[in-house]
Amino acid sequence: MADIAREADVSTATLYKHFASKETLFNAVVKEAARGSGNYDGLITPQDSARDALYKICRSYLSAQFDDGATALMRVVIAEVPGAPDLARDMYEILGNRRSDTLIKAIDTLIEQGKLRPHDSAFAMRLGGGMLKEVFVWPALFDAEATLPPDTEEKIQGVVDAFLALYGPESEV
Amino acid sequence: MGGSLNLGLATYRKSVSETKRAAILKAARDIFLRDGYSRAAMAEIAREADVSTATLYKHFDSKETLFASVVQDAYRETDSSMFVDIEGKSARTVLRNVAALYAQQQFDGQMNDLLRVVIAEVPSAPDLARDVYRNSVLKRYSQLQAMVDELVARGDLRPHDTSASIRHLAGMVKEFVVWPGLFALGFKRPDDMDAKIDACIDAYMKIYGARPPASGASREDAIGT
Repeated sequence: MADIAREADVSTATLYKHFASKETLFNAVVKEAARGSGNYDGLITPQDSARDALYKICRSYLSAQFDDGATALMRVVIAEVPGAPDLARDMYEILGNRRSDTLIKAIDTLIEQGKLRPHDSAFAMRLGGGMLKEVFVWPALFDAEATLPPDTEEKIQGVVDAFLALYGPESEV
Repeated sequence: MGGSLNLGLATYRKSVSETKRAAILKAARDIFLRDGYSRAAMAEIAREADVSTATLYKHFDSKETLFASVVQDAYRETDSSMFVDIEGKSARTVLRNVAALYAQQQFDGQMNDLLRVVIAEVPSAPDLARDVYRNSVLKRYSQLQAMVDELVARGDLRPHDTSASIRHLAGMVKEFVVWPGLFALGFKRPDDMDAKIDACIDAYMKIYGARPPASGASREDAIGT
């Protein structure tokens, strides 16, 4: 904490006035990093096709993951699981499923607009999120220098294709 | 005769050496899981394995090598039962077996805990994690891909980019089997694990499974017109 105060150019008293403990502070750091990145409202317009909308969601997810250092934070949280299990559990929803409720809401909107067939959007979010994480986040978890690969575009389209094969308007139930 | 006696001795020595190696790997695994990578001490691993530190270093020249071997060993053991002959088994059965063995290793084999140790060390020991990724994770992907390619060749799955599709499959399964386990200490196998795995395999078959031929004109004909 002393190091953090020094880096922020404030006294430790000031630091503790804002954040009562290291745990509270870390919690706030993760939440700050996830702020906005879990908000898919306004991202999708009624004119977007299902493919365009899903593509935008993936892009937004990945940009938070790679530009805002979510992968690095994920690693810190994972490292702390044995030492601070409660903290890690809280952070999983934010980092692992980056605000699943908003993702589910986005899928529900696409269903309402008739762009996806009606389905269990909560489960679909897990399948889609799982595919996206495997392709991009999983390899990055093992490599501190990881950046988005050169064929990101193609890889996103591959995940979108798979999702549409499952839930697109023409997909079979 | 002297030759065969020497051979017997060599075999005996080899078997002692292999037993020691196995004991070291088991002890190392326990200590790494308990203490994490940085805090784990080679001397303690030797003690736990009941070998001298000299013997330990003869088998593994550094803590890094030892840790990489522990992970590789865990992968190899599961891979050998995962990727078996697929003859006479449906695509669904083959994939379900792979996923079930995978889940078993993650939970019962404490693989989620071991992966957490690897990921925690990425900033301080980047080569270690990169080694694990290359030699264990990528290797498993390529074995899975070879299996899926066989399913395509057999006509169970339609022709597609299998290097991408195996990651889609792995991702769906990991969503339920690995990700929650990475963030939660002692995450237990959920009761509905098998149902979740089946749902993932169903999804995969729906995306990449062979399609029944369209009535009348074949798919190619339909596209051509």
